[in-house]
Amino acid sequence: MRYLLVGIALAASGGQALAAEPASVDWGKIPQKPVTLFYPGESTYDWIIGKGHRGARSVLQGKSCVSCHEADEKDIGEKVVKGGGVEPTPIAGKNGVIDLTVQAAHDAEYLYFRFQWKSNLNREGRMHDYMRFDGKTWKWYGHDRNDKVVRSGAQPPLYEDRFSIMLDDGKVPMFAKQGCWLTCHNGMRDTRNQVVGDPVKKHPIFGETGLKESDIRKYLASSRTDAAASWDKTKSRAEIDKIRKEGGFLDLMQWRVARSAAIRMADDGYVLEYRRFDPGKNPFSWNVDRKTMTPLYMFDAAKVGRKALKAEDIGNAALPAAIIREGNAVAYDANAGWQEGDILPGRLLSRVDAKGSAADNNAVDGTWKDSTYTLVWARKLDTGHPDDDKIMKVGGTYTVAFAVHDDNVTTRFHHVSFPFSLGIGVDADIKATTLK
Amino acid sequence: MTMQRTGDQAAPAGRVARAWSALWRPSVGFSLGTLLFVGFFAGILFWGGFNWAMEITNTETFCISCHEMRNNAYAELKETVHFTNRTGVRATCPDCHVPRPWHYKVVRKIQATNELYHKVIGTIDAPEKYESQRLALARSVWASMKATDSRECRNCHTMESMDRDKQVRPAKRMHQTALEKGKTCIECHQGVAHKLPKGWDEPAGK
Repeated sequence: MRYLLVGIALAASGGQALAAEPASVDWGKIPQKPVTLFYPGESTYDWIIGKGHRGARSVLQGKSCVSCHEADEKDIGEKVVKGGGVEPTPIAGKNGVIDLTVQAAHDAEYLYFRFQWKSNLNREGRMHDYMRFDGKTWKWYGHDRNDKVVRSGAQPPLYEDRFSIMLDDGKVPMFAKQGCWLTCHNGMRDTRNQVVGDPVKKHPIFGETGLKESDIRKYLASSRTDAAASWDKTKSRAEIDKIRKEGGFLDLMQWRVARSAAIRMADDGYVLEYRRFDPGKNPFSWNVDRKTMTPLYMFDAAKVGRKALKAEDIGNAALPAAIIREGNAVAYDANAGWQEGDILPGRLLSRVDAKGSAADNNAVDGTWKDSTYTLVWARKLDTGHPDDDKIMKVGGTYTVAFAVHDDNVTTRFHHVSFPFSLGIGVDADIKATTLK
Repeated sequence: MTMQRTGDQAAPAGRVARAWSALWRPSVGFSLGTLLFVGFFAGILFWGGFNWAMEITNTETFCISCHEMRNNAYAELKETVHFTNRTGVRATCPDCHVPRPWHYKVVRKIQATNELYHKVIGTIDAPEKYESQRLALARSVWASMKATDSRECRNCHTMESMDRDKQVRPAKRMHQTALEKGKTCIECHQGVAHKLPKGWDEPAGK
């Protein structure tokens, strides 16, 4: 049965190699691990080791989060989400915890996951980076719930839901004990001292002479020189490259309901001095020239029945939310009779174009039904890309942590887990069952 | 045992024998009252002196008269809440490391003679030597604390006198769990007064 499905998937995938079908695993026979995801607010690394956190000394001593916070997820999440303390800008109506069910299995070549969780939103969060025609030009339409235009009510909340996996093989110091808190820092987007623009552009690692970034995203404390792991106190390029070569990075994969789900993929990245995508070509790119705000593709009316969406189509599951280059797109025609209120996705998806290490997660299937997401995922134990992926082996034990971005949020407005051990066929917090 | 005079060379042995014999011969020059009176006060002096000497070794001043302790364990203690805190209660070295019940204390003091040996041979007389032994030393202390149900911690802290409702949320819950699972203080509170050694939570022997 699995081979039949693989054959169908291969045919449907435009010939791209697809060797595993996570849906074919008999998940009814795989044990379920309940995981409580909780809302962390701005509990950035400098806060965790600072005076505001009573357990700071324990953290610095190398103790694990759960040495004090075992089974504390619900209490933390429900307290923080209300605001105050580490959440200066709460989002009204947000839930403190999400109950996640994790199942894992493996064969000789693949690790398989199945995740289930309930979303807070009464529709699939698959709209993202949309553009609206105002009668003259295309303008961005809708943002995440923390954006000022959404908070003010000027625009609707439109941002994709996501499921994230962090994976380590023991080479990132303290990750098994302190998990993603090693990656979240003051100065990143949507933190109290977020750094954007010139300070970033002038930094030798992140700026014009380096990564060409204009903001700060996840990074590991081990890539910095000071105790607080400040955003700008980076080790040298050579030192960072050496850490990466030695495997001291985290694998970070995100299933994106708008930017990868429709082509059965998840992205593939890593975290070291910054959150970066693996080399190659991502499942998604821009569907717009951002300087002129001219779309690149529109819906193929012959396949979709329309060239663009309208605001009232948002949430209509019968209509596509994403433009897929090889699936439902034709080149944008500026003279196609655009009307005020027409909406096009600002992102372009392509399974065919996705290449290299960035395209390793190519067997990921998610569904949303009755407010519950069910996501199955196949990941090669050995992707062949050791410079940016964690290479796993049967019998090995690794560390995983999970996060869900739910209900039109991005950055820190997510729900996260403490780290768990993952055994590939061996006992651990989460044991991947060996498939016969 | 019979001792016999065998000539001048044997005189010292003869004196010992005479003294030994005199010790066990009933007194003819002193009344029983005198003997009891003198013996009583001599006993007090001896016993008091013994305990006085032992208590001298039971002070922080004595502990940190060795640079090994002063520069390492004590220096680290000074950075912790057991040294300076809101309520002004300080735990000194023996508060945590010497049992209060007398018989356990004597046993501990006898064990401590082994530390004199290591002092002489300089096992931890340099920072790098201390570091190399830190994990083994810490594990030894943790093992003994676990074996005594953290007896010395409980000199000051007891579950019965804790008002868990006044504790922060994680502490309240963890203490409740500890009670239910029969855990003892040191199983969670390693490193509260000194630095945690590298590898502290790996199984011993690694």
